[in-house]
Amino acid sequence: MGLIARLPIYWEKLPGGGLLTTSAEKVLNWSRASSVWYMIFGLACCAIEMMATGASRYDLDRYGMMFRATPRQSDLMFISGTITLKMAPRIRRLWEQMAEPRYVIAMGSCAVSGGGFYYDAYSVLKGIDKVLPVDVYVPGCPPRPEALMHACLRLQEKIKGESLLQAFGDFKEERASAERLAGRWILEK
Amino acid sequence: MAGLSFEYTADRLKFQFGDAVLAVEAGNRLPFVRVEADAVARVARFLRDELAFDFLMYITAVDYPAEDKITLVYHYYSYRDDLEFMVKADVPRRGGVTRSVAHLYAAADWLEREVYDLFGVTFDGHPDLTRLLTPEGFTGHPLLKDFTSADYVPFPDKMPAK
Repeated sequence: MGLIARLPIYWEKLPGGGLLTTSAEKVLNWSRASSVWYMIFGLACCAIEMMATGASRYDLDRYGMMFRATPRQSDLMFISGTITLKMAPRIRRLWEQMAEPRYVIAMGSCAVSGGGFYYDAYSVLKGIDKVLPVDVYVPGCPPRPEALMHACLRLQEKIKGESLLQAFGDFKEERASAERLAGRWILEK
Repeated sequence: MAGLSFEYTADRLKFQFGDAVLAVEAGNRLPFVRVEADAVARVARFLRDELAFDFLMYITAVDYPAEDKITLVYHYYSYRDDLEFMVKADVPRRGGVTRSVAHLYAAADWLEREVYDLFGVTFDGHPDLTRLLTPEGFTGHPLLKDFTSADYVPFPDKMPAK
């Protein structure tokens, strides 16, 4: 993905390159949004609802979403339940192991804000956004599978609206070298 | 024929330890013996070696802010006599210290760490008195009644912007 993400930086300098970028972006975003693989990983009671959403009755496979048993090859992490203070560093480490672009859905009241029941507990983190950036919040205790599917659709919208550079970082050095290359190309012509 | 009943056990303790046994009380579910805080380990050794209380069921504590004390609660059990025996000891709320019984009962190791973690009572002579349940770097003792919900964030400096 690295090369594909860097290419637009170079061809954007050519005449008509912008059009090429938007078309390529569309295709790539469509394929990324249609194959969001989520990490198989559950925290608490919300995980049961997440499993139900993934299983055949609700069937996340229809969106191209499959579970993947390693963070290295996952795009999405469901934070499905209460985050205890001892679990939070482990979740953070899993998230750090995921390759970018990576997405996080905070599922249920506990992941959103610490929860209705556990908010004042000494052992519970008050929302996963204290340690990770979150893309979609799903309220509920636990959320219905329909709510989770809605969140997945919203995430797909978000992915489809992204520009390549937004998704893969800003590549400052490549941009500078592309400017230099383009300048030389124009001079040579 | 030792340790057949609660009364017999309590009498043996009173005879053995004299003034260190403060009271014998009826209790709600079980009768219990209240002892001096620094006699806890001596009493435990006597119960184990002389009266065949070979099993330490539980160590816990209760916080009494109004009386400014924490009550340690020890449940001993004798398989030989099928008898549960409860011992209580009071320590001050802040900086309470008592003797560890971890060298007598292996089960006491983690139980005392739990009480230290949640109530802040120190057990003298414990091999490794560190927090058991709360994460490293946690401050305060959560089961004290004046504890308020922790504003603990695992990495305050690492929250990324995406």
